Amino acid sequence: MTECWNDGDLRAYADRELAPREMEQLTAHLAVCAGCESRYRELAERAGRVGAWMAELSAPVPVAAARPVRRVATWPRWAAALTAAAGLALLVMNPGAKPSAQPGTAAISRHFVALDDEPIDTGVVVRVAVGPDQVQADVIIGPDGRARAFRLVSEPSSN
Amino acid sequence: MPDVLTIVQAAGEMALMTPDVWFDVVFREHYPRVVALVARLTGDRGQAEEIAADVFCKVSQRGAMGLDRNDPAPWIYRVATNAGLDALRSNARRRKREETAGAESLRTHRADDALDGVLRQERCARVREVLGGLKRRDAQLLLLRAEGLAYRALAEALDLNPASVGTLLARAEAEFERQYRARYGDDV
Repeated sequence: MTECWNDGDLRAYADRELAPREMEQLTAHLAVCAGCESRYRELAERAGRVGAWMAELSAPVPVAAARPVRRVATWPRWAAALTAAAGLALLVMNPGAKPSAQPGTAAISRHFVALDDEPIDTGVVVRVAVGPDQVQADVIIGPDGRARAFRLVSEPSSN
Repeated sequence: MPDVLTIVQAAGEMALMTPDVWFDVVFREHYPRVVALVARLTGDRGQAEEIAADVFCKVSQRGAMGLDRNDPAPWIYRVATNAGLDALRSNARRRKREETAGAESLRTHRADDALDGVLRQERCARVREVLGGLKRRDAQLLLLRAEGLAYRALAEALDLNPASVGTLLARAEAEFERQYRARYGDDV
């Protein structure tokens, strides 16, 4: 029987990280040595388990785990002044609350469509007209200035 | 951009590039991987981007002196895993402080979080906890091996004898499993 191999070599063998000649020798040895074969199996199985644990970390990071935006707490006060001056409606959204309808827009019945997965705490609703048909839409702008959600106010055909 | 880098490396021209071009090539090749690696480690993508930006700031400083310009990857991954492990530990300390103060976790689970999403986060938190408790080199070995680095690259990154990587990896895995089971039992 050929000489036994150490754990480091057996572990490298599992990753096919030995030199080709050593790979062959070890393969031959495992066929005849129950001791090395069982140590190899143990090492390879543990490597598989640890690899699976490490792979847990590879799934995408959920957006809900992101740190909250610090500015949110102080933002609505000045935003209210700004939006009042600009004649815009300020919408402070509670989770699950439906956006309130605005005067003169009785046709609004749609929910907003979020543009990303982050929860929307506060935002300014801006009425915009899009395209040659002047299709109207509401856009929620978040405290960081990004558009967060939108809804169509009028159908393209109805204008 | 890996194809560009491969071609350039094959031509052996990395060392001949102007510093700006060199940094640009290195940044494009490694920045996304570094962000992903650190995000896995800390579970916080925003923080990972800050850390990666820091790492590449160092790369740009070191580019002029000392850093192997033909193969900066081992150095980059060593610095990145070091910074990631530092963040992991300070995050854990912060969480502990918050828990003692009775504050709620910063994580805000949305009501519609699927149950398995929550469970997966729990499993990730366990893995991070155990990694944070390992010796630094052991944690780096496991992280970089999971990142797909071959033994030679691992040896370069962590300044090890290439012949000892198998042994050290086997020990690190045994230690990870031992600590995992010590903390969380056999329920894995």
